[in-house]
Amino acid sequence: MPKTFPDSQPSRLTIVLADWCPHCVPLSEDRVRELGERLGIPVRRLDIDDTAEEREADALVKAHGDWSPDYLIPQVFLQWTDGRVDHILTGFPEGVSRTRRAWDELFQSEWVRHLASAREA
Amino acid sequence: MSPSPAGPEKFVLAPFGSCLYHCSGRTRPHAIANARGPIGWVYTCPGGTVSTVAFLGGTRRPSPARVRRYLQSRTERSEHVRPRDLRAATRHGPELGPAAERWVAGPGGRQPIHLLYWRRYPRKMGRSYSYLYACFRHGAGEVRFYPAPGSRKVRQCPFCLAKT
Repeated sequence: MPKTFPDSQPSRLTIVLADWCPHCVPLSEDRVRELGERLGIPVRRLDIDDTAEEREADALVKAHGDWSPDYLIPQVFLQWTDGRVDHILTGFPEGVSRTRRAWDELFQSEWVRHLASAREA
Repeated sequence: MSPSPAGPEKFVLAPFGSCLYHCSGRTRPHAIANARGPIGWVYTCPGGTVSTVAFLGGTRRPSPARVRRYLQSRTERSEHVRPRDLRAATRHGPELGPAAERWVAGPGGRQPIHLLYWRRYPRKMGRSYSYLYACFRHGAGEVRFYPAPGSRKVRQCPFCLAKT
């Protein structure tokens, strides 16, 4: 599970996606924006069909995510003020409904509640 | 459906999914196993096509080469299991529900759960498409894969010649 550190705060969320992917748009794009609002941080969108963004997405997934030659999307990452990057979610090939449930569970998780309450404190 | 898994795999088993390329129907998992226990699930749709296959790596990343060898040895010879059709996924716990979150955060600081998915996309064959089908009549936890045109009403497993 992604850890929390007292001296560091979440600074940005990044979603790696494609417009044609039903796990990504609108589902994960909406949910990551909602998560960003909850944590009070901006969201960056990297589209794998945009050459420049794809380069960034590939580097991010290779360094911190679930890398495969033709990797799964969406993948979501949380960047911290100390520069750390945590991979937090990869889409579920079992079906869009499973990816939706994963987002629901994430929002109700202790981890997200902890992050959100730390922000409010 | 297969017996409920007992280990951390119970957190990653989806009781059903959806077929993306054949019929959009509800898929269901069939457990596959080796002598040491469960190794994953084959999700098939109501039309019998294989939607996706999920391999459990537990707290270690499954080896794509090993999974590919496993698949190739259980797939009709004409069918090539492409390395690029194998895709990794990590489940950290919070996205799997409270029980999984507690398990991953449990004593000893357990590691996330790793999976490797195989999806063989439909291939155009003349006017129709070839889909992947699975036969589960090869012993407990075993499977054989073979391609067949989606238009064919009766299919025959090339390994055991059983018709479905």
